[in-house]
Amino acid sequence: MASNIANLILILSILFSFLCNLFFFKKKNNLSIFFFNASSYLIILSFFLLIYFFCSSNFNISAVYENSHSLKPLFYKFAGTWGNHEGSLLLFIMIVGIYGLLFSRYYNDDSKFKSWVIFFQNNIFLIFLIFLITTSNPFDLIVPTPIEGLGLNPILQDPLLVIHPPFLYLGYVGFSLTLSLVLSALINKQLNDRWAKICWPWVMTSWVFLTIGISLGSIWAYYELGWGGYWFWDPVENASLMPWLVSTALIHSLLVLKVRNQMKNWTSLLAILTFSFSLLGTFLVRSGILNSVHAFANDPDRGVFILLIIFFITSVSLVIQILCSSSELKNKFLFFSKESFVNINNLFLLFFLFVVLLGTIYPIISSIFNKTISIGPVYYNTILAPFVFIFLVLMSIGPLLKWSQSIGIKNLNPSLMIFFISILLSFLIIQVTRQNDLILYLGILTSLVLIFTLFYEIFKNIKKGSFYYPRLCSHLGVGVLFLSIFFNAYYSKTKDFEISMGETKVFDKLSIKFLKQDIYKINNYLEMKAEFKIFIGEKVFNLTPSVRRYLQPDQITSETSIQPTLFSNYYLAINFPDQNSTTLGTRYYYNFFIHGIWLGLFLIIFGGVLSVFKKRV
Amino acid sequence: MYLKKGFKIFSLFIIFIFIFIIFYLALFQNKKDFEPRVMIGKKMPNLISQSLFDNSNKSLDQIFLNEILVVNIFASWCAPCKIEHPFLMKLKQNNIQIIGINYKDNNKNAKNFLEKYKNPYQEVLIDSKGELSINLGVFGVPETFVVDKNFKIIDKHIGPIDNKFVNKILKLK
Amino acid sequence: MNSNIKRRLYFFLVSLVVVLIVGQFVFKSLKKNTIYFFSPSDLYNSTEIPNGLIRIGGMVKNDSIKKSGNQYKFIITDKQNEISVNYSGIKPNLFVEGQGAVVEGKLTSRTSLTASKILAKHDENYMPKEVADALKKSGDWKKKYGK
Repeated sequence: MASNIANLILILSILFSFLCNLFFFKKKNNLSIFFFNASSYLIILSFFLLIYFFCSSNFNISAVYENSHSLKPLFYKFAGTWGNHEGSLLLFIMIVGIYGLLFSRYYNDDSKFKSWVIFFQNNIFLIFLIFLITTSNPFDLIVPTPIEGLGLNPILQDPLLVIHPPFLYLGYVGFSLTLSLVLSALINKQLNDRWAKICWPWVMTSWVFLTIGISLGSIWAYYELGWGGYWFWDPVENASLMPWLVSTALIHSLLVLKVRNQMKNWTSLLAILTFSFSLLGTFLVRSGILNSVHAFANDPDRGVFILLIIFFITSVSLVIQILCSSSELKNKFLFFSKESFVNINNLFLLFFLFVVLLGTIYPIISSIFNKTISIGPVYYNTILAPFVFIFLVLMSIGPLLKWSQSIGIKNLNPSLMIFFISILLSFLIIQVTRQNDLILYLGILTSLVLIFTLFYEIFKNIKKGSFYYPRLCSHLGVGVLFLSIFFNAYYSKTKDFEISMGETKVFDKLSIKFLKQDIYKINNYLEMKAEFKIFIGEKVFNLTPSVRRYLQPDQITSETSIQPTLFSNYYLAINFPDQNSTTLGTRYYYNFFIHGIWLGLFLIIFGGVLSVFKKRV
Repeated sequence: MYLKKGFKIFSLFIIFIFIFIIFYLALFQNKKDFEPRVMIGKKMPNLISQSLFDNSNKSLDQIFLNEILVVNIFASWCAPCKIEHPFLMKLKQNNIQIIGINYKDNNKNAKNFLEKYKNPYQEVLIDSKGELSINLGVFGVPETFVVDKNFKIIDKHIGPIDNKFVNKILKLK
Repeated sequence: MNSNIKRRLYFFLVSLVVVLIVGQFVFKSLKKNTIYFFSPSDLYNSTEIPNGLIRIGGMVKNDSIKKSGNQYKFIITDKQNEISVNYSGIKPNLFVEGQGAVVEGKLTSRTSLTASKILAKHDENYMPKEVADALKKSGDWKKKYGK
């Protein structure tokens, strides 16, 4: 019964979606938009229905049966709704609908343009809805009603991991609207500065959510995985980073379009690519093509379907772009102008994209030739580092330049000054901490150049009051982020050791004593909690890491124990001991300046949020 | 100008087809999988519970073993269990001993199920709370274990068994 | 007109050179950081001993794990060939005889490896292949018992 209602809602939704198209072709814009809205509301309803089924453990419904279990705490039953392929696909479609609904509600200027945007949005919605109903319907009925579900899998029982997908989706699925906006603009020959202003809040909102989603993933990795790190260049992480890089380039391009009505081709191309890379990320994660541990249950047939969808959407968009792009006069930018630096910025970001893409795809290509490989993180760090240095410096100069004028070199005197100060300061830091590493030096130097330049800008304009908070905030975030990344990479310490009960390990000023342990059984796992006393110089504190071993699937999840200080963390994680083992494998990390990384990310996000809400001419 | 655009579109399609082929091939690659499956090689824990048929307490090690023993987790409410049932009967016909673990079920429903579809089991242990199955590390219902005379788990199958699995077991005899 | 073409050509050539140099740099680094995966039999059958960091996967041979101080010695096998491994560090979770493991390190000879890392195959997000296969097959069950 419940399944039937839900399926009915899905079918109605598809019907309304088709009606939207029908009325659009008949030029009945109001009806067209009405049916799209109705269709979206129906999907929202169906999603809430699915949540209800999960929370009430209705095992008649296939998605609930396969992914939930009566023993799961309510919160995880709720989150289990999107912790599986079918449910998350429904979430995906719902968000496409929500962005369309919001646009439909808040934009009312040009009704022809609006109807085109809704038309494209509706078709993206429709394609995925058809995919859902034909291959991945969460509401399939199971008879007779199973008493128990299959989903007592501890994989997703963690709060951070629960909110990470929705934020990511609100991010990169939001770029579906960006695609609809750009395609409408191309077809109606309206790709100009007014369009850029309309687009701006929608693109920024998606970008903010995507940044938050990626940050949450990183935070989860740090606090939960127990390896002391926050980014591993894992293919699934890369899959979310790639749309982020393209969308950041898009934002800057959009800025030029907004202010100078130039860079149209760049902007339209980037807008299309952003959504394509979002879809590519979806494909990589779901299809089983990657060797990463993150992927959903592998299904090549599903993978092919998604691949076809991606190619279809991307090729249609690119064809429209090629056919409809105005032959813009070759943008002649003076070299030392803002537009030119935005161009250079885009080239750098696309280069970063290329590097990440290559590292992610290369193993896939290699697997065709039967060679299983993986790409070590050293590749990414080695290639990106030198270019990041240059990028940071350019980032500090760019905003100082003016639009469509070249400024004289002497106007960059303050930059030179800042450069000198940074050189000295970095040198000082290196000497005092006795870390004679060129990469560290350059990293600190270029991050400081960026940070000081921003402070200089604030100082210089504080009287005029005409400065742009969002950009300052986000760029400051970037500076802080990179500074922290370099500090964290070079000044952190780690110790791995095996320790027996009562033993104290001594490393220089650090002493670690294993006090006691407790093992107990809950449901389908064994949990071991250990208590340690840490002595560092004069500081003394206790840490209690724990580790769980599940029976089915045979898995270990670990709870790290962290003692925070102002900038850093003392961090302890343990391995699950063998039955006949007298020692406990322990990992100690002193993570220097890790809070700087979170601060940097926060500033980047906050700048974006400010940008969405700020009214600027 | 139109020539240029046409050319762009054409090259776009060539590139896309090329990329599509690469991904398609990669999707269907058989990945190297050397990893032995979970629980294989481990000793089956001794299961003790009430028998479904006569309510007396039985334990697994009381059961006389020929060469191999099949332990099958099932329930009357489980749809795939009906699908695998004929294969269980085939095993029984070939004199393979099968023990059933009745998972989170109602005794009457379970007995009715076996009456209706016939009984392939030499003995059935009741697991009304699911504790036995959790100790076995069971993922879901149905699940089937194959145990040798030393109670070592030599094979396992998640989901309904099929002809392939049945033949594998018959070869072990 | 002439100087315009010259300018364009100049710009094009400079970009080409930059692209080639950077490209070289990128691809070289990619090659250098590619970690190949072998099974013990792959190594046995290969004509040359791979340099650099590689990964080997297989089963940890029963009764082969030996510990002395901080050092572990064990054997990885794929039932046909074996590689002996030296590793110093803490024993990772789920590293047990008779189970699968992947080690990363450098070969010291065709049949022995010094491992710098033992990879945690089962972490929070791992879904064992058999569970994944079962989930996939559930699509077939659904078709059979219908809606």
